[in-house]
Amino acid sequence: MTKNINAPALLERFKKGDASAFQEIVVAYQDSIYGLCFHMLGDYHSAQDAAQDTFLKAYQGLKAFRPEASVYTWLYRIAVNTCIDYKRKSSLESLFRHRFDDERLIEQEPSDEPSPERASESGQLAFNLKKALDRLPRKLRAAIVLKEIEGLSYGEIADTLGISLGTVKSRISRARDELKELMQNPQK
Amino acid sequence: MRCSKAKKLLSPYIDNELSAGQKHLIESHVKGCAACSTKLEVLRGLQSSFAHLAMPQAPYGFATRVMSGIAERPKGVPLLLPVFTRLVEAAAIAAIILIGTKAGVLLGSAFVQQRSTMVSSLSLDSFESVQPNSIGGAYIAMMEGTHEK
Repeated sequence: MTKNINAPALLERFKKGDASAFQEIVVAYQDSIYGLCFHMLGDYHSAQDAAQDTFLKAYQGLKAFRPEASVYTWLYRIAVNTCIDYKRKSSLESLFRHRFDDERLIEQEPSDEPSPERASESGQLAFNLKKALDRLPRKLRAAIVLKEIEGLSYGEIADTLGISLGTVKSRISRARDELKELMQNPQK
Repeated sequence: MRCSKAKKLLSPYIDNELSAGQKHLIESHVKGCAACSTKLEVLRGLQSSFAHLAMPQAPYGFATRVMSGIAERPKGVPLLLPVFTRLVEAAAIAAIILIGTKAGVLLGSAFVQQRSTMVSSLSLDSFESVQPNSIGGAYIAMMEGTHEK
């Protein structure tokens, strides 16, 4: 997902001490990073904390960032690692939040006003998919979220997660098989 | 192309991540294979279902909060909290194991000591000889007299 900002110029400004350049990076990527954290963690509260931590870590490491690398791939990598740390720490806590967030998820339907039947169908589909996504192992979830939600190519996913193309292919394929199974048999 | 090979390539196929040659092989296989054709439809259905997921946007004022967080953070303080937290977790686990082991050893030695005290209390050495003019002494004398007969 390419953002319409001049990342090298912003980085140059930041290295010269212009903090507002970093704010422009935050504004450009905040929705992507927040959305990624939400789909990785499954709740809005943790997503906000994780997204904020992602940018704080990025700020600290920005001076050492290699300009030839892609800013968003680098940010996604920090976000995925931050979410994995969060998931490890707050797996018990998140159990109590899922129900509330699932309800909010259905409320956030796209605003193109579908028919009530269609809205109900897509709401149920979103609910089932999110439930299945939440139960997916972390590594598979990271790969499928980057592919289906962030729209990254296999090469970009490999760069983000630091894995080979073959591993990306296998994780996405396994993620789809498991999602299909979990959606068909939610009690499993 | 065999089904086992085709099934592995269906996922990269729908992601448009195959070479032109592989793409062609998959398309010809799917035309003649009902099982792979069904699997392809299922994968496409799953792919399109992601469009129904909510795409949350960062909350209002998010960027401002991030910048405030950066400004409030003392300069030169590294963001090593996760590493620190993990070290604390590891230390806590080690302390629990150590305390558990120590408690086990202490309880074990106390039990052994208690058991040896109980056994020694049942030893004949702990009984005193009976006084001849006591009720016990009279009873023993009577019993000895009965046995002598």
